[in-house]
Amino acid sequence: MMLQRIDISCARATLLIEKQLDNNVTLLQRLRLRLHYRRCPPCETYARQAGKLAQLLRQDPPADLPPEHLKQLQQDIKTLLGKKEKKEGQNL
Amino acid sequence: MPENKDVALWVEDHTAYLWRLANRLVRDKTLADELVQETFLAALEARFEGKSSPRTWLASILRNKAMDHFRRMKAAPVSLDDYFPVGEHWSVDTVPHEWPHDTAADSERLHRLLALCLERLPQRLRLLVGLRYEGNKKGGQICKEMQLSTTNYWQLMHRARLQLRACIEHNLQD
Repeated sequence: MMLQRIDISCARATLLIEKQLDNNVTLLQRLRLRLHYRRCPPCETYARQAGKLAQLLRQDPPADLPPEHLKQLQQDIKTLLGKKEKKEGQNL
Repeated sequence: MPENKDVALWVEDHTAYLWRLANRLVRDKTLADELVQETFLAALEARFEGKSSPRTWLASILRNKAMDHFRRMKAAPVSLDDYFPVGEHWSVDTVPHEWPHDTAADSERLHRLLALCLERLPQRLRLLVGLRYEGNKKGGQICKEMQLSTTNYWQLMHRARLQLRACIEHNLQD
């Protein structure tokens, strides 16, 4: 009964898990989480998966730019820059 | 101000790099195009002091543009009821299950689903995740740069992670 009263909700637990990924929890909060996991294995699963996602997000390779798209983009930028230069020339 | 001909050279040398960075931040190819264009336009007007390489300098302009973009976007309400409908606990539909993680195929699948689910995040959350993990910054730094309160930052990251995780699990079951 006592345990029930001091246990945190899953909404609160997953927020603390988020902070824990940033090393942003107090010792007491860490203990609260451990206690919560005993009563709620799904939140422990969530914590593991959240950590896995963080790890994947850090190493996630960026998508590549297809060569033809790159050429088009470079062309567009040069046109934009050219226009801007011309406009500024007129203002002088 | 950099010479125009320098900027034209930079377009040749750094567009691909900047686009990859932009796409990593925003996960949206059209928006990535726009950000790179805005970056070069801004570069034309800014003062390049040569304290860092042109590439680093351009990348910092791009990051600022991405943050401007974030600040202009409207915040969607953050509600946790979708995940914790009753008494702030998981429901039968939302409770996390273990993911298969034994084989190389499992981890490849996870990678693919992560990319897919990132694209499905609301733009503002996606950008927040991008800014958080691209430079591997801690929350405090990002709050300052994005002018977010810490409470608000944690709410948003919490929400983004819940949504990403749920999306992945949902698609693992197919």
